[in-house]
Amino acid sequence: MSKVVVDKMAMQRALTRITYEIIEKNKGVNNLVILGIKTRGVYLAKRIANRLQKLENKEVPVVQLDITKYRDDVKHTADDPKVADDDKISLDNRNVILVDDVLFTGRTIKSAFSAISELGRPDNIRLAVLIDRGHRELPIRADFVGKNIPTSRTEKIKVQVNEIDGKDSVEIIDK
Amino acid sequence: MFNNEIKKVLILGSGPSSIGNETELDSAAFQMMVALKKNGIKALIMDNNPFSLTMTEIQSANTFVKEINLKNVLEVIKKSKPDAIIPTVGGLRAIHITQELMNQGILRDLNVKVLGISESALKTVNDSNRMKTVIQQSDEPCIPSKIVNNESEAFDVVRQIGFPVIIKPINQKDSVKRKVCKNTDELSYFLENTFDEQNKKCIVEKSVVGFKQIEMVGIRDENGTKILVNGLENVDAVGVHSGDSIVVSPIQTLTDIEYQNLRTATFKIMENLDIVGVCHLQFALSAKDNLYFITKINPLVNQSTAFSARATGYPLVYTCTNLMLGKQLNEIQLPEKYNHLTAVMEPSLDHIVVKIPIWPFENIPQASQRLNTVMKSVGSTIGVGRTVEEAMLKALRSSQFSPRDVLPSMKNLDNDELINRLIHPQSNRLLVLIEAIRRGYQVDDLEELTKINQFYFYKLKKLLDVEKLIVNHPMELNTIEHAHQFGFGDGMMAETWNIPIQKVRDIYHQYNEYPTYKSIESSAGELEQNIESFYSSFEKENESHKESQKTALVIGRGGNKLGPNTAADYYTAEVLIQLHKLGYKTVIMNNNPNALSLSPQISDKQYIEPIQLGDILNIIELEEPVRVFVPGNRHFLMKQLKKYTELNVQILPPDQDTGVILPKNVSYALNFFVTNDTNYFISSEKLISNLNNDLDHVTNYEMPYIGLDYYQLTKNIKEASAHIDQSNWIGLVQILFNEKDNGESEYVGIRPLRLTETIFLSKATGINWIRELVKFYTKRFDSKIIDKLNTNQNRITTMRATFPFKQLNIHIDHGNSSQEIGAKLKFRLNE
Amino acid sequence: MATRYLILEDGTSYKGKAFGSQATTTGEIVVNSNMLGYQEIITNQIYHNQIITFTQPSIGNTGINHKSFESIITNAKGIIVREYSNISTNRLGNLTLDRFLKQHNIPGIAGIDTRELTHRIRRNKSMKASIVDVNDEHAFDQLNAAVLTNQQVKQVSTKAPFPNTGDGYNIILIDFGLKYGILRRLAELDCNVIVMPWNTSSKEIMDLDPDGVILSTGPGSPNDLPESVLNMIRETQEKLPMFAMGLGHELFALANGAETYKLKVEHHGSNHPIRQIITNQIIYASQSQGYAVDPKSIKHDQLLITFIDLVNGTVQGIRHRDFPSFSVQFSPDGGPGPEDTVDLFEEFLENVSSQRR
Repeated sequence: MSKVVVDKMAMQRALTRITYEIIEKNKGVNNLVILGIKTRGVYLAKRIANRLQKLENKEVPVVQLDITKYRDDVKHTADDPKVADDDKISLDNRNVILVDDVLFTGRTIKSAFSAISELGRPDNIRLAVLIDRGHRELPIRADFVGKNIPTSRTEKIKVQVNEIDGKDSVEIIDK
Repeated sequence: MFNNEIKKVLILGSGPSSIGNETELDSAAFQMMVALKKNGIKALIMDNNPFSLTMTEIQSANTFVKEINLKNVLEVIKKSKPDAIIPTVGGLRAIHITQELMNQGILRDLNVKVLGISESALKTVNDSNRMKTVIQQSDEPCIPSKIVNNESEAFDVVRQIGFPVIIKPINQKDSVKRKVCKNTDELSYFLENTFDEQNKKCIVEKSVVGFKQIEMVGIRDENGTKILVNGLENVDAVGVHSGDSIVVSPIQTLTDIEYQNLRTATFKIMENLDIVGVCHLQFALSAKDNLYFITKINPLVNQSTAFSARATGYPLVYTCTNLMLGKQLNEIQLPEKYNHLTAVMEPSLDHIVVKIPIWPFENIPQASQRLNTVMKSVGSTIGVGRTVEEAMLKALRSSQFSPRDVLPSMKNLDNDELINRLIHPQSNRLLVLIEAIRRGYQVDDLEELTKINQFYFYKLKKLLDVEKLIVNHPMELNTIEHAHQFGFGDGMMAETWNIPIQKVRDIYHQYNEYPTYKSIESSAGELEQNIESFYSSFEKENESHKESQKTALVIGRGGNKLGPNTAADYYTAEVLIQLHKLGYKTVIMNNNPNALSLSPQISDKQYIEPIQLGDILNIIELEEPVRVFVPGNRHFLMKQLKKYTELNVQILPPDQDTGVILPKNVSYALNFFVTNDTNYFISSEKLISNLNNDLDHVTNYEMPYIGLDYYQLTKNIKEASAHIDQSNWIGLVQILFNEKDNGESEYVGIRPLRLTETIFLSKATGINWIRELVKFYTKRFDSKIIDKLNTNQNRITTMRATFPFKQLNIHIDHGNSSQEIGAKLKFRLNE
Repeated sequence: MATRYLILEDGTSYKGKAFGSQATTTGEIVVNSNMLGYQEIITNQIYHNQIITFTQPSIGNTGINHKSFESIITNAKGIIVREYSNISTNRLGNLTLDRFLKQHNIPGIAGIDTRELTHRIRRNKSMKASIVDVNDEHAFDQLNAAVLTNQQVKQVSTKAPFPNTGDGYNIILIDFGLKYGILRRLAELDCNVIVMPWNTSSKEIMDLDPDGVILSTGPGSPNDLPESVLNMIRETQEKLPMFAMGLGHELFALANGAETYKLKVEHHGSNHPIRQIITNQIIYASQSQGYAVDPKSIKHDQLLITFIDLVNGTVQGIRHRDFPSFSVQFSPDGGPGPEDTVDLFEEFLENVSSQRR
């Protein structure tokens, strides 16, 4: 059984609001870099950057962040992917917005911090997530939340984005 | 994002006209072709409808005269290698073929895209289960129904959804018919007696018979911008097919809350189906509570979308063509006469449009006249006005074909029959409703009997009040002013007062009162634009002015009936195009919402008015045309117009009431183009009757007639020429011959070449004879064209009329030419 | 129906048929191009001082029903239609438009070439008009001499606070000429609403410990309201999420350093494409405005432009850079008009919930 908890309109609205909140907190888009955690976080990051661009008329860089090699639950090999697709980017003294689709235990974000450290030393890092489903195992909290969706541990949250899934939605799936 | 990969597209045509498909699809295909060209895209078309303007206007190398079926479409795709096919202007047949091509993976293999309809929308057409899923996914209501196995389950469902319910057999092939059950007894009885003891499996569905019918037409672009182009209110309730219902636009009897619910529902469905282009939805609304259901989803061009374009003035097809190429609503460059914002403004109307259907029962008396969920009307007319009454009366005047402008009376109906017809609608619905009011039926009772909103009875009542005023206060300015406000014509007053129409006109003209023409545009007067489409009113401001010193007025055929009517409309369109080419400013007068001849691209100005003397004179007085063309025979109208001797009126083909006695039996004909000094032989033609050799039943034609040997032909030509010389006929003339039993043939008659055969002759010879006729009657004919005549005897062209018998659920073996609804064209080689 | 006249400041006179109240009336003439929803329009408080011309020619078809009131007291000065129906065919009530107008002392005039009138109004600047029994020189003199009040908000706003209870967020709604659609949408979202008078101070608001503040639509010019209203907005937006609409939007803009101007032609309808800047999407909304925020006056370090009308280029929405406060020129609740913008109420509540975390 699956149930749609966020539809297309609600997802757009959430991203819109997160965008405005980023402008509020960051006082504009100066010095901003958006890091999207692969895979769906990247698309969300791009959409946020696109919205910022429309509002402020300024290009905001988006970096794809691959955290697989920092995960403590994955076996590592020598040919692990690079952390970021963009080699030129340095995060030194930048304001970083880290974007992911779902915030759950917090372990992904912890890995992302390690990955970020390879790219420089940002002034600050803020976290934006589309869904916060609770059940944190680490002291991490999001600065920008699209929607809080209380879940049981056994439920699964499925985020779909139009760019790869052909539609925008968030569903809860009963295991 | 504009799609640059598409360079060549194949448009699937609609095939011969049928019930539910007149000329609107060809008109849409034509407008689409124009828009494609503007975008630098090559359009190919496939159709076997001889009366298609699109087929004529596209270079013959890019047209495929073939019946639209899977095999032929596939063949054409393989041969012509288009980048995409467009099925949305070909009706359901084209959609089904495209579904099949997609299901079989053929389009993917050949790398051919489908334009104008999304994959999910395509799959939904005619698949009620999928439609239900789409509606539910969109969180919108569809008619509740459930499969049950026994009586107790059936009652479980009824307790949920309430009576009345429709019980449908599961297996369509079951001999069991569906039945509406209004109460417990009916349901029990039906279940007990219809199904066998063991198997009571059936579908229980909520019945929405008697609900209000509303239609919505929306468009959407790739970016998700959605516009509601038009809302259509069906005056008749669910139970009568919307094509057989009187329709009013904009919607009159809903509150804004109800209206917005339906608008939002329309958008949700379009979003779900990823529509890029047009979508037409139908709704059933409960008259008692706020309940509504979505009953149909049509993601294609049909008569409701055509009506909407005509009613709003919104350039629907042009816009949709751009949308399907990937443009967004705010990026579309409309033709010059529109404001650049028109495409992206949601239409708001300051006029009212009423549509009244026309049924074929006069020509096919065998068919049941009872209206139900299967469409029976073959045409319709619209009236446009500034009040509901005015629009309604104009539509009615247009639909009745009474040149005298008075409404046929229903006073011969006895009371039982009247009540019967109120409950069980038949053709001429509006006249029956008027008769009921005349007899003093109360509005509440009428609403109960007919399920028609009392608003409309209130309006009809006002019309009758004015009729009374006309009768009781003749020849008064005040009466005429009132009558005009409510859409009555001068002819009706002249008839009632028993005076010449000119006298009626003099009464108000001397007070300097003239009709004011208002533009049919979609911004309610907000945007400045030069849309040349008008309707009359009697108000303060006139927006239509004399077009030019060299104007030609063409009087259209009005609503479609059986017989040569779709052909006549195509003929009219060709006349307009040629007149324009000859340097005339063209003005068309018509009232058929589906008319090809009203497509804005083919005339300089359009008047949507009743085709009656008073209305014609009004336009003539304003436009002062140097020529008036009347395609098709309309004796009474011609007789009236001929009284105005200063008018240069030409009827095409020439009037036949000059004493032609037509033979009973014929077998072939010779066709000539006759000028004042020469008879040009053009072609022989085999006339195939489906009842012996009866002329009335000639509905099948072959050209040339290969059964004539050279000797016989030469002899016949000589004989024919002699007959022509003795007659006064000029233009296209047909000489009829009959083959006797002994094999000899004899001359049996002479007549002007009929509309349909003129078109057929054009297809067979490769010369557009309608255009030549127009040149001839405007003294611009050049006989050199005859040299271009294709004398190739190897190609045989056939045209076979089609009939609506199957759609009307009757069996007639020998259809006659007055029962034709369309025709099929075919070329074959003479082996 | 008696013959009466519509006379305009430019000297034009129209002969028509009277319905509704038979009073003589004077007001500013405006055009509304919505096709349905005459009841919502006539009962909208923004039409205080104004005579409404309907472009949809047939008005009154469904009578008056209890669901379509945008206020109980109606302040329009008159209505002008092509054709008027004295019936009630809706299933929600039996009151006809004619009776309703008589009850509220609003005159109507029918049989007018409203299309011509619309063209005339669009060509001219805003004009005064009267519906009168006699169209003589005296009537025109009276019309020209008439001065319309600029104290509309004071006249229409509630004098004392009142609640519209719910179990959800605690929302303060400042009444500048409250449109009931706002209450309906907030009720759907289960808000606990307290409606307060136009001159409420920020302290009075904060004393009620609310979660958010809404500024309602209303009649007239934003410049006719005193500076204290702007101070209320400035002080409140720093502490609470704010959502303003119509007149409220204009005030929100003024409070944040922008300026407003009177439109040459008022716009009342729902057919204009409005672009949402952030998504590039085009939506349609119920618009009724006589004033607009001047885009040149917007201080870009304080405000972001969020919506633009593609027809006349007017600013249709702004948002504060530093606070979760935003405003729209149109009526997001519809009534009458599209529901495309209803989710702005949800957006507002998401701001509220995001602040509360």
